[in-house]
This record gives sequence, C-alpha cells and structure tokens, in this order.
Amino acid sequence: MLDLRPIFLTIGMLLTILAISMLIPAAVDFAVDNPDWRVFAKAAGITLFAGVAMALSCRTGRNSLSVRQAFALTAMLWIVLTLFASLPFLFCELGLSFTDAYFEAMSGITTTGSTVLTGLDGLPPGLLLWRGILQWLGGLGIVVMALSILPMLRVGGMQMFRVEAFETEGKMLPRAAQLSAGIVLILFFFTGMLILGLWLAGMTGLEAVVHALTTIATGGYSTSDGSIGHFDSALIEGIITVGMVVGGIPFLLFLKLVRGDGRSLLRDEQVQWYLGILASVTVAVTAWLWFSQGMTPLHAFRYASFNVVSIMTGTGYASADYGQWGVFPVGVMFFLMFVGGCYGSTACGIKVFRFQVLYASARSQIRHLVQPHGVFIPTFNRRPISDEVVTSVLSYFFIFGAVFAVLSLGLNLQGLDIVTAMSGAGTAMANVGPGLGPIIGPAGNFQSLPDAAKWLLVAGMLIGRLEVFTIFVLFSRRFWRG
Amino acid sequence: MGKLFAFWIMAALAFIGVRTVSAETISFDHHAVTVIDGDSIQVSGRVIQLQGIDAPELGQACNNDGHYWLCGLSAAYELRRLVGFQISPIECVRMPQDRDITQALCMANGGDIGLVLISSGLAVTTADSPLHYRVAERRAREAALGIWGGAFILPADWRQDKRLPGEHAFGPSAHLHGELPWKIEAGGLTFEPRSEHAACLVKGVIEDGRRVYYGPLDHEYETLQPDTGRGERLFCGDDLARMAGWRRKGEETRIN
Repeated sequence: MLDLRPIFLTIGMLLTILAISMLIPAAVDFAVDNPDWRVFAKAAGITLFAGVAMALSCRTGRNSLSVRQAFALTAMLWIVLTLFASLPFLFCELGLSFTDAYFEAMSGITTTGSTVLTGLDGLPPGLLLWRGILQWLGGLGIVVMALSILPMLRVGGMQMFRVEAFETEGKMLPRAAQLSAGIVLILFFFTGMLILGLWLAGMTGLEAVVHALTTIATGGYSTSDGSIGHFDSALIEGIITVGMVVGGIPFLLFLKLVRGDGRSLLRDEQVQWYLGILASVTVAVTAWLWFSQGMTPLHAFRYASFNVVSIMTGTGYASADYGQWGVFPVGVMFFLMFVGGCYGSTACGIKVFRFQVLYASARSQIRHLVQPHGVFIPTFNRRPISDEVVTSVLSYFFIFGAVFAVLSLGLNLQGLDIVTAMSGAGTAMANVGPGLGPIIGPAGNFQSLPDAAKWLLVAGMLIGRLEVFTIFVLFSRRFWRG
Repeated sequence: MGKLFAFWIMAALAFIGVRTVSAETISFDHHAVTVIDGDSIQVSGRVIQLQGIDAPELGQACNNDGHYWLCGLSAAYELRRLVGFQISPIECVRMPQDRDITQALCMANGGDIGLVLISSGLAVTTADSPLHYRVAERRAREAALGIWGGAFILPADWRQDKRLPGEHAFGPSAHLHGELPWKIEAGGLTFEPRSEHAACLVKGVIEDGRRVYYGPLDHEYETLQPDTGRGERLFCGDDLARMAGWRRKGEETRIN
C-alpha cells in the first residue's frame, strides 16, 4: 500500500506557500481601497489552514520519496493546488461558477493562458495580479519538477536529462529544494528586467508586473481583453518577444551561465533547434504576410515574429487575429503549438528535444537502410541516445496523439465544430492558450463553452502539463498494489 | 405605343431597383471604433447597428444551471475584442434606410463580425437575418454555447422589462462599481437583494444642453453619476435610451 503521508506533507507545505502568495494581491487591493482584499484574505486563510493541517498531520520524519510516491505527488499536487488557487476566483465579485473558477486556476497554474474572464480591462488589480502570480508559480513549479522529479520517473524520454550529481532516487525532495533556490533567483532576475523594460516602454506599474510574470512563465494572461494587441506598441511587443524566447530556454543553462559556463548555452543542440525553428517559421510567415496579405515588410515581421514566438513557446499572447491572415498561417500556428519550447524551461508543448530524438532515430534508420552493415547511433547533444529513450519518446507521441484524438472527439461530440474541437484539444494539451476559429481563437474566449467542454479542457491542460504518462500511470492497478 | 409604355414602365422599375439596392461601404480603422454594446458600435459621429443580430442588453444576466452570468456585458466585451484585434480596416456595408441609425454588415479581414457573435452564442438572429446566420444560431444552440447553455430572455423581450426569476438579485452594477453583490459573513456568503434598476447600466447625462448616453465600455463611464434632479437617468439598454431621444456624444442627428 502506498504511503501517502510524504505526499500530503509536500502538498501541505506548498499550500502554505500558495496561501502566503495570496496575501500579495490582498495587499494591493487593500492599498487601492478595493473590497476584493477580503476575498483574498479569506481564501488565504482557508488555504493556510488546509496546508498547515496537512503538513502537521502527515509528518513522517523521512525526507525522501519513492518513484511511486513521486508519480502520485506530481498529479495530486497540481489538482489540489489548483483547487485552492481557484478560491479567489470563486469568492470574487464576478460571481464565477466553480467550473469557471477551476478552469481559470488550472489554466493559470499550468501556464496555459486560456481564459473564461471578460472585461479584463476593468477588473480589480488584485485579481489581475493573482492570475499573473499563478502563472509565475506554475512556471517555477514546472521547471523545478522537470529538473528534479521527472527525469527520475523516466517519463517520455526525460531520463536523458538526469543530472548525474543527483542520481540517488530517494534524494528527489532535497534536490528539488536545492535547485529551486537557483531557479527562483534566475526567474526573479528575468522578471525584474521585464518589469523595468515594460514600464519604460509605457505600461503602467500593474500592467508591467503582470505581463512580466506571465511572459517569463510563458503563460499569456494579460490585463486586457485585447491581450498585447491592446497596447499597439512595437516596442512592448519586442520586449515581450525576447522575454518569451528566454522563457523557452532551459533554465539549467542559465544556472550554468551564472556559474561561468556560457558554452553550454551556446552549444546546446536543443537550444539551437529551438531558435532555428523560431527563426525559420517567422521568416516563412513574414514572407506570407508581405507577399500574400500586402503588409509592409516591417509590419509583416512585427506581427509574424510576435505571434509565432507566442504560439511556439506556448505563451499564447496575441497582437492580432492571425486566424484572418489566410490559410497558411492558420496551418502553421496549429502545428507550431504542438512543438513547444525546450525541456527544462517554462515553455509547454511536446518539447523540441523529442522531435530531435525522433529525427536522430529516423536519420539512423535511413542510413541503415542504405548501408545495412553500417553502425549508426543516434545522438543528442553529442551523446548517444539509448533505445530506451527512443522507445519512451515514441510511446509519448502515441499516447499524446491518442489523448488528443479522444479530447477532440469529446469536444466535437458536444456540438463544437471540428476546428474549435481540435484546436481546443491541442491548445489545452500543449498549454498554449488560444485555439483557432471564431469561438476560441485569438480574438475569442472560452467563456461561452459549455461546462462539460471546459472540464475536458481542464483535463487536457493537466495531462499535457504533466507530460501525459504521469497521469496515466495512476490508472494502473499495479501502481497502487506496488 | 404599348411597347413604348412598357419600356418606360420597366425603366422606372429598374431605376427604383437601383436606388433600393445601392449600398454604401464605410471603411475605418479599429482605433476609430467605440463599442456600445454587443451589437452596436460608434465610428466618429455615426452609430452602427450590426445587421441581422440582436445581442443581450448591457445589464442583462443569463442563467446557466442556476448560476447567473453577465451575458450582455460578455457580448459587448467580445465585440470589443473582435474589433480590437483587426490590423486591417474594418468594412461595413450599409443599405440606405429611413432610420436614424445605420444598420450594416461589418467585415473584418473577410470575416463577418455579426456571424462570429451568433456562432459564439452571444447574440440571436432577427427577423431580417440571412440564412447562414440562422444556421450558425442553430449550431450554437445545439452546442449549448454562450446564452444557449441555459436560460435567457430574448433581448427584445428584456427591453420590455421581462426578467428571469431571481435575475434582479444578481445585479451587475456591483461588478462595475466595486461593490460585492454579497456579504462575507462568518460561516458563509449571503446574497444581498439588488434593486430592480441594478441592471440598468446605460447612463444618460446632460452635456452642453444635449442628452447623451454612455455605456460601461466608454472611458468616461466610471466617473459619471446621473443626477435625477437635472433630468439625468439610467436606462436598461442603449435602444431604450435612443427611443427616449438620447444620443451618443458627437453623434450626427440624422444619418443620410
């Protein structure tokens, strides 16, 4: 039988951190005399009580997790944290239903960025800030999890990223704590730079803070219904584009850079592919907008670069309704949303390294067909890729595709047209934010969807964020029997 | 003689037909647009009503499984979002009509704005809606999108003071004026009953001797406090304000 105490101990501790973070929007609302501060105060009180109670009642004296406990923790953590993170949305003046509140919180904490809220421009500052904080915490959480827990679970090829210094299974939690400190500092640095840059570019203080939080987390929540398009500023779009690109780069490489190892960042093949894909797709869409849509080259580059980077990194900001740009950009954006950023970053999607593994494997296969007696070993970052990793990645693609198909059909079954259904399933699983089409496209919103569709999308966000296998393992009877 | 007579009759009919079907196209940048509500916009001195659709009124609430939501405001925000995301000029094709308000079919980069609102379940068709609008409405209804996800009053009926049971208790003015619609008391939340006029969000004020109405999406809205002693008042919809003779700021008195 699985010992759940270390799991609830960890959840309890993180709930305590969540409760403390709720005090920030409470303080902001209190400072501007907005009565919503009572909402955050009440939510913080409930969350703190639950967190402390869980932590105190589940103390075990052991500071380690088994692999099975890590699997259970990963899934339960995100579900429970989201429940408490939804309290401010549930209690606030907007009168959201539980479905809408949980959807908004899950979209925040998984850094998806799909929203059911409208009239953002007039919302209380605390609520806007809370959305930003949720995405920032979610981005931090996914980076720490990716570096310390997921490699040990050997999920979808992530065993390639096991850091040799932390080989011992039972050391997951201390390793997570160790890495968190460095990652938090780096996140704070980038967030601070973005706040300063956006504020100097013309945003108000609140707008700069919220957009800095959601940019580096590649989350995409904005303070305006018009997203970044509302500001109509090439400078703001440029700063945010740089921020999104940075958010999609592995944070471990930034840690190494800080420690004097800059070569790792420059020589990392995953980063090279990531930047290469971004650049080439940007050029292609720019050319389309220039020649086919009649935009000036500068305008075409401005809109293409921002929206391509936003979709590929999974941020989900929009500066224009690219659904109206013609058939090519729509197709590009649809496929690009699945690519994602680099492993170990805040970005979402399938991740660039998985495509690299498949490419390397396919290339070896083709060479082997031409020279049957040759020995061709697929490599990643100049290291051989094991058959176990290739199998893991292939399995990931299969499960991802199967879940995508089931989700799409589930949404379609509820009466949504196929474009809305497929793009909705894709944007949820890849944690991007906007879908395609008039309903949930860049100019749309998820509010009008029926509750059942929203719950399907919530499931998609969770499954995608936790790299698919982490959720499905829990459905295995063997897992619980041990 | 008979053929000549017939010729002149046909020429006259053709002339009338040309006048009837001639259309004016208005093209403008999205920066020039102010969204009034879910089916009306203002471009400089002209108020344009999106042809073939009727969106919930600004203060209107719809009910989804016992839960009220601000469907009127949501429709207005959606229209604002649609308009705001356009980097190409928006084109509205208008048929000359003997009305004080322009009715037009508005397109943004080839997309029909009114159709988007119908497809999203944030507006209903009207008597003069084209067939493809009705098809889109049926699909939205089948998918339970937007207002079709629960109970709502048709906007035309809502303007005649019809309300859903309990709708008055969910006053959207709380959202706009920083008040909470419920009290947080020890042990739980309780609803405070709102007044009947809590849903009347359109503010009618007198400026420079002119009776002007504003909606929640106007920049000046939050600062305006209608003074009933001066004849200023609230309206439960922009159409009702217009019927009472109030107009938008800067609006031409008659559209030709």
